[in-house]
Amino acid sequence: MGTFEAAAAMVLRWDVMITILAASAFGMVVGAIPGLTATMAIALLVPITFFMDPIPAVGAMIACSAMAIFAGDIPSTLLRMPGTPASAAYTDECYAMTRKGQAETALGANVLFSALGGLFGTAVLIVSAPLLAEIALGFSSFEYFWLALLGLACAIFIGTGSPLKGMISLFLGLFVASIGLDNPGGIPRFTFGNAELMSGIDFIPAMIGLFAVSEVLRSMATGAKDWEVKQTSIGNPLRGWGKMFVTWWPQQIRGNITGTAIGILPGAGADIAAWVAYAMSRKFSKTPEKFGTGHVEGIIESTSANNAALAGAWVPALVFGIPGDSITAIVIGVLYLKGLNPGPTLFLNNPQTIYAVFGIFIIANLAMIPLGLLALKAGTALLRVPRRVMMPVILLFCVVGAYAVNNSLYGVLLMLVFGVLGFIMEEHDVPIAPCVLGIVLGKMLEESFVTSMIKADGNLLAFFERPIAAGLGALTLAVLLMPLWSALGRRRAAA
Amino acid sequence: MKVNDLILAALVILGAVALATVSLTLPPIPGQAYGADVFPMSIAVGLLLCGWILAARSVKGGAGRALTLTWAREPGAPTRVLGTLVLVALYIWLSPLLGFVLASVLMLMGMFLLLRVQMILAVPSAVISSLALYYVFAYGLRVPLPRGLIEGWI
Repeated sequence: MGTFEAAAAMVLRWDVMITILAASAFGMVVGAIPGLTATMAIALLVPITFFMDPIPAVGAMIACSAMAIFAGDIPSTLLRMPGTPASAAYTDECYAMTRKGQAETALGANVLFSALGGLFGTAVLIVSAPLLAEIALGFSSFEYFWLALLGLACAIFIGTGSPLKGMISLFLGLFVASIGLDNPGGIPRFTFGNAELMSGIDFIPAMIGLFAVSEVLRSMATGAKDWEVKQTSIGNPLRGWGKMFVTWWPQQIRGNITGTAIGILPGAGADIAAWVAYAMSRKFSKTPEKFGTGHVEGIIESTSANNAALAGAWVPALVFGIPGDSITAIVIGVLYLKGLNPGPTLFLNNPQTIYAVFGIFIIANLAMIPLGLLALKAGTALLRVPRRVMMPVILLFCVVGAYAVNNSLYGVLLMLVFGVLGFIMEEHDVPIAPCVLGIVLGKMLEESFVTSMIKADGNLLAFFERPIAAGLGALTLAVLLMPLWSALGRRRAAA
Repeated sequence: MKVNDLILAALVILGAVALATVSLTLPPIPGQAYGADVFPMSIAVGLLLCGWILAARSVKGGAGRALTLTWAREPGAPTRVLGTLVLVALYIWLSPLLGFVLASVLMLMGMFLLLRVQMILAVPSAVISSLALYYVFAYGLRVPLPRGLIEGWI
């Protein structure tokens, strides 16, 4: 059997299809609830994927994240509250359309262009990942060190409002990654004699805590008040699809390209893609004055971009094991658990699995159109469930999920600690995403650095001796030094 | 409820110093210059720099009030947040004794009480969601959730 046939046989199974369907429904529920992010949906889904075969598990995560990012547009449009941060860029625009009585046009555009954006990102993933994997086969610890550092640098300087606080968050994550026995010396580090800490901090309970428990605590702080749904019934969202497609195709393509490119960049994901795409749309628009008044142009470009970014983020995740965003950060953890260690060798040893993943991306994005239309109906009903009932139940789900990772209450304790940490961090405007990337990339960063230094006998210049390493090093240093450069420029201009 | 950036910076610097102190005690790899201490030491130096810059910035720009209450000003809000933490801690303590279902019903009822959900809605919501999660995880996914007083009956 050839690779494609083997991949098709892995994907076209009833259990995989049902999993994709169920995960889409789950992603829709979490994405449509304001405050609950797509990353949180994935963190909560992980304990369930433990009990699945690798392909349905990966399928569940792809379908869930794609649906959650789209479903985030529903409360954006109806309540002016972004369901996920990826919708925040064009929330006001969508809501302005609702106020003009055009909610169905905005939501229809969100369904159609989310799916098309996802398919575009998938196409780029399919074409570029195997090519990059060929190149990555020649990588040594020097290149991996720079790649890990580049991912972290992008997360701080591109992904956050305050790079300084982003850096504090990153160092916190790197510290968490350094706990345990798994280090170059093989000695217990920061375990304080605790046997549970020897194996390090379990990633999944930490994620559930940082993303989900912190949000539950935030809504407990504000009393979990119900949302006020302004428009409860929506018309036919299919109306005007053809016209929108014909009129706005350049915007759509541009959004797709922006989104995929930002997704591929390690450390930056769907939310940044949407902001950049919306800003670009306005800049290049023939009618920029219409932006903010309920104009569909910017919505199309940015809703295309955020879903395209999702697929783009899988490129560095699969090829180098470097997460493109916080969702793929969690996915990488799951891939390791499932024995599908990401990296170029995965393309050599397990090509059928890679093609199966591509296949699932296509199916999940195609399924988004019918499921998305259903979600529009379900989403409006969901927003009427009392939040005071929903939040405690979500916390119970977190507790069970954190327990299920190792069947131990220690996971629940970790979840609680990280929940409080996430809550305090957000209170102080310290972003969470760099911390997550630090936890995921910490080990790779340390290992590649120490191995390289031992190989080079302490010669730091060795990090620039290989051509690709030198290129990546220069790029990383540029990202790191850019803010310093612009700050100096501002100071000079002010003087 | 948040402290100002100056206090945050002081905490970061304190953490960095503690991290560096513990890192110094880590033994090196025999015959190698780079061991288990390099990475945490670099983190400590990084944190120290961040703390220093944050402190300098907030001194220059005016640190503002030491403590801002934000959500904590609303009556009942601190109780709701602390209550939630206590309820999860109670769950960790009680679930091996009472079993998953009773412990989770207790946790949910506690939270509903904190949010003043009416009993007519709270009791069925707590019981149904606890049982549903028990069936999905214990039977569907074979997670050995803590068994206690009533799990043998359901």
